[in-house]
Amino acid sequence: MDGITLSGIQKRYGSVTAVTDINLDLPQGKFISFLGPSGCGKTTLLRLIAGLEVPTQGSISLEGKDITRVATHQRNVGMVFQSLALFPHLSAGENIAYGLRVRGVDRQARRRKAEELLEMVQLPGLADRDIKQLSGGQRQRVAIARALALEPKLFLLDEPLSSLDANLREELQVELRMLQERLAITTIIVTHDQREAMTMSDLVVVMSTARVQQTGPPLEIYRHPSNSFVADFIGSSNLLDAIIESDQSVRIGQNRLEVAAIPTGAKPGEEVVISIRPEDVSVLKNSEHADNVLEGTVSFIRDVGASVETFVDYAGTAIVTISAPKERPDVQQGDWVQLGLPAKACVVVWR
Amino acid sequence: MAVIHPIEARRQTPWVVTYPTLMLGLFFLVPFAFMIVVSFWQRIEGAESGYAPGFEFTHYARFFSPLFTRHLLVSLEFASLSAFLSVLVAFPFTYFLSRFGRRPQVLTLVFVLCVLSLSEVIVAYSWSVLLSRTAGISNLFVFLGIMEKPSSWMPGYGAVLFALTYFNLPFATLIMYPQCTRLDKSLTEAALTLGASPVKTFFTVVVPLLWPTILTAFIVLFVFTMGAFITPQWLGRPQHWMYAILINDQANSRGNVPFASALSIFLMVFTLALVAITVRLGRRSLQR
Repeated sequence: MDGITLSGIQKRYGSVTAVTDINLDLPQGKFISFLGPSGCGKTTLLRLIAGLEVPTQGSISLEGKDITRVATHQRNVGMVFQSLALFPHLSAGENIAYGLRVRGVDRQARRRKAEELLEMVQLPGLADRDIKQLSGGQRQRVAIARALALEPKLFLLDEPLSSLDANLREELQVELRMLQERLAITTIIVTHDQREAMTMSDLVVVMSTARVQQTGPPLEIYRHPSNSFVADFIGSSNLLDAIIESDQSVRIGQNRLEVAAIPTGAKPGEEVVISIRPEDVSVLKNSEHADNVLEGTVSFIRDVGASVETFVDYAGTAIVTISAPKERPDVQQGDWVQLGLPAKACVVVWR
Repeated sequence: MAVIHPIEARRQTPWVVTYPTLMLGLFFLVPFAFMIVVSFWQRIEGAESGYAPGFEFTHYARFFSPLFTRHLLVSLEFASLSAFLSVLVAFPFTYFLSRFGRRPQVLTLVFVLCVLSLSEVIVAYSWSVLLSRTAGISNLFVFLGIMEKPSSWMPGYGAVLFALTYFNLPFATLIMYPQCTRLDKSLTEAALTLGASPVKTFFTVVVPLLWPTILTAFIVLFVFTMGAFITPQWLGRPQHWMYAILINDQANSRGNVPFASALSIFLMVFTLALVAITVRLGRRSLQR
């Protein structure tokens, strides 16, 4: 196995379990996101990989070698901290060259390497700047350059973009992804922002309550969430309680809905959840006829220009549809409408 | 809305400021001014009080006699060495303490505070017992087979330096503790991920970042120790006597209060000058 393998990892602090039952194969050279809400254990997992924490149970191996007990400074990982952790007593260039200084590289070579890396992160000529004189985005880039200075085997980032404003964040996401593709370095980023994870990753590891919920490429996770947590956390989703009727259908209250498939092993009568994305739900026109239909009252319309969201109250649950302005449904608040839920968009997940 | 107008605020502040000013004036400036005045007075041998009002520079001229210069240098040596040694020992201790869990930290600090509550008299007396031949720790070493026969380690240079350093340790810890706890843990972690061993991290990240704190502790302890009185007298020989002992000797044994005043003022000015130089040098070394 080339990349990193985590087997049976558990980490407890006293009686608190930070992560448990973690088994992951993270392939070499890919961009991987640990995605989940705060407190789900994603940062702990990253720190375990960096060697800043020692697992209570389980083992970690990198390129086939067991590194569970190897000290951080001997692991050759580059890490960008949430606080960035730039050394305030050193200039930007000295920060980047810190690792080289520790290894006894001479001053001139250090300087050359620092300038090279500053160019790579598009900050040429800022080597002598004080950290305090740099803007948030510039500090970000210095921290990235510093983490990459020793050409590490692993590049770890702990919510590095969370302190930046939205525009800068999206810009850096794209830049970071391009940089990673160019260097082909195995990269793991911790984030709670599903959009960020979708933008950058080859592989998303969705976590919640100390466990891995699902691992897969972003679109696969989006289209085939394995449980209701993932369905709800990745993008927005309409979640409807249902009961399995047959291999191809479920029952929601008095309505019968055709579905693409049911989870393997699920039997008729079992309680499940139907997940359907707002963009897959449509408000039907009067003349239109469809098989998979639920009826309700329009409770609210949110028109933000670029898209229109229609909220329909179905037996106490709000079902949201989203459509482009051109396809704005011709309905008003209070109207009784029919919603079309195409069978192949209805994903059945465990509750 | 309770908006305090700037003028109103200014009108309120005097009462707040007056109290410390009053206390400072009453208990520090007035006696100090008195001491300055007395330092110029005339010494009258044999008179009941030993001195009379006057204005002369004779006392200031006596500073530069070999005796007083030598003891000034002794004070300087003890103060700087013991401040240096206590910071050297206390800094790593305090830093690692600040990285521990809450509970061990609090327990250790309570213990340090207990040591702090001991007066210089008790510390000096305890060490004079512990360093003696009859009841001292050398007996323990004999018992353990490390030494052949018990010996006395006081009075002497080492005993004075040791006891002064011991006395300074809890102060050093308490001065440096707040800044040590404030050092962002991710900075040292970042150094580790960049391949620096824990020892290297300590010297390349922790020490430079906490340098101002280290310097502050050194200066405070230096000033503190310059006035040491009991420790050198009990644990040292006459050649180890620090300046305060001479001042006491002039004022209480010889009844030469004007000269004692002049010596006190000189000691203060000298110490302040050294502090100013140290701060200047410390800042420059930080900017490097």
